[in-house]
Amino acid sequence: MHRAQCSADDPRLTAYALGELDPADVPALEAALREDAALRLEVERIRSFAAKMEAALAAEPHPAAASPVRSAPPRRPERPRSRWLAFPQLYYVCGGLAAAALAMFVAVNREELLARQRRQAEQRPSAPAVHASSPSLIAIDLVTDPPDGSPPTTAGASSGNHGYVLAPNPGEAAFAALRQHLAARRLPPGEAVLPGELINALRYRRPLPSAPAAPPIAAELEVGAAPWAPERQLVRIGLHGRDADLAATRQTILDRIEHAQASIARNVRIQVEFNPARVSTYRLVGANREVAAQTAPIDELAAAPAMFAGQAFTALYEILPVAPARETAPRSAVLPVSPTELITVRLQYAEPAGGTARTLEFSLADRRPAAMAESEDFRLAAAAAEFALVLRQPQSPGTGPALRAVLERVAAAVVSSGEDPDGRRAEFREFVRQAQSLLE
Amino acid sequence: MFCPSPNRREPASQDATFLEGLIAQQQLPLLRYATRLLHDPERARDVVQDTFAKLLAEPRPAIDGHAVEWLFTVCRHRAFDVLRKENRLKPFADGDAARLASSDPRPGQALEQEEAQTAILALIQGLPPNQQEVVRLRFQHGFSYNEIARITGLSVSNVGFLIHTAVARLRREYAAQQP
Repeated sequence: MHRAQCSADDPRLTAYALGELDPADVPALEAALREDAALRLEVERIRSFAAKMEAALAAEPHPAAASPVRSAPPRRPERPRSRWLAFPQLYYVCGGLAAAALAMFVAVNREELLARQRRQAEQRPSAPAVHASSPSLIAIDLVTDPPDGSPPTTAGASSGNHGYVLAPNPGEAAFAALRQHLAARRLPPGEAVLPGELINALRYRRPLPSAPAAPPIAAELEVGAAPWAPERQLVRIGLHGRDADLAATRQTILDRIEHAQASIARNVRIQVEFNPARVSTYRLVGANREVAAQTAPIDELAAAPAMFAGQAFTALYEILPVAPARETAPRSAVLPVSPTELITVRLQYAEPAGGTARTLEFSLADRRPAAMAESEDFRLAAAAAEFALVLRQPQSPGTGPALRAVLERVAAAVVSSGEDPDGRRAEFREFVRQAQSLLE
Repeated sequence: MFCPSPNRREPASQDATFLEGLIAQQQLPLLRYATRLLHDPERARDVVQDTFAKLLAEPRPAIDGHAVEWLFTVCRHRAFDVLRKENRLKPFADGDAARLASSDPRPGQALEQEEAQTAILALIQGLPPNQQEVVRLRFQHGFSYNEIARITGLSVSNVGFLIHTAVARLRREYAAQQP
């Protein structure tokens, strides 16, 4: 291609910018680019705009996903410092997830099942925590990403009453974007990498029902070390919508799709409460400017969030534990009844038929990471979060070693699980490997 | 094409796992795609169900390596069958664009990020349907030019031209809204 043959209006330039140009044409076009600064600028602008398009389309509400009924808005929580998350209603990769989660479910061996049940039983004290009178249950300060990373100041923000909405099918969008950029041997634009999406792009095991008449939503809580900061910890909150259909034959797949598309809970809201005797500060991993732009006062969310059978949602909170010296000192007269409790998660939902309001509560006792090995799901979610955080700031010092560590952890998680029905864990490992080679 | 061969061996559990994973992963993207084509969530659901039914009847070797592309191709054919049967199939024309475009984002104001996304989405919805389809396949579903060509039956250069034209138009219109 001669220089004169390539103009800003040449479709080949767009194809090149998107990594789509026929390899045979690439050398000629790159020669043209070397000679023409305006063309180079054009390529950068196309890439930058393409990233904006990807982000916008990833956040687009699903045309078929509008929930039919908007229930009455819930009362604002009386404890002003607690943080409400709206369930990401658009993330119902769903229906089908029931099927896929099932595949993993069947493969878990019996010993693991029993161990998991024991763990779950330990994680759910039967007595509900009594926090209501405590005036200062949580600190809202973000551990990092200050201050421009804070959620925007709106009416809802003053009460910490914000919805957290994931992009529709975050896994697909996040993986597609990474795939495209890395295949073109370049890093994705930092602002396009959203930790919350990447964490939810991977599939995790789902908790077992603890009783025959188990509630429709199961939660799994876990605390462990934050791999990127030894003094901090991560809390993993995994939510799963349950379905009762456990037949794993090919003939019932279609039935299950039908079944799975029915919502099992409507108007799902999640309250996460941290014990100030144990946690000094926290942040939702991925709660930065981009995610903040997608949050809204919870009462103003367009559709009532619903949860579907098989739907899963994972959130990671990074916490800075209270220093041991402070921990033992008497803090105030309003210490929670259960002082060892680290975090309490309350789910409010309405039954799909009738709309009866229900509340579920899950809490997690504070265990120091040394006393407990993190689960494979935890390590994988943490690796996904760290990978996204690194890609957001590839110029930061320590990026190389961080990626090497992520790669090792991901590889270990992929190998040890042996379960990867959708191939995403393996693909994720490949992403990390490619990003590492680009950065080094 | 979709009749399973009588000699085909029974699916191994591995096979079922693969299919379940594939269905789980692609259900929402297909629903989204079909809904855009049909403008009708209910029919879109039927079309996606039909698509998965065909997937289950298809010999695995026939789809290995390009299963997602295969699903979108079948889904597209099925959607167009429905449109044809209902006489709703109209040639793609620029005339539809104005009707589909949503309200103008406020010009002359600094757009916050959320507003920027809303503005870009509105502009995308204002594209002619043929450009909109390839733009969504590329930037929302992550297909390559080659895959889009096979799904839509267009030539690769035609796909490249449509995407180039669409991106250029979107950039122009977006820039015009900036202060």
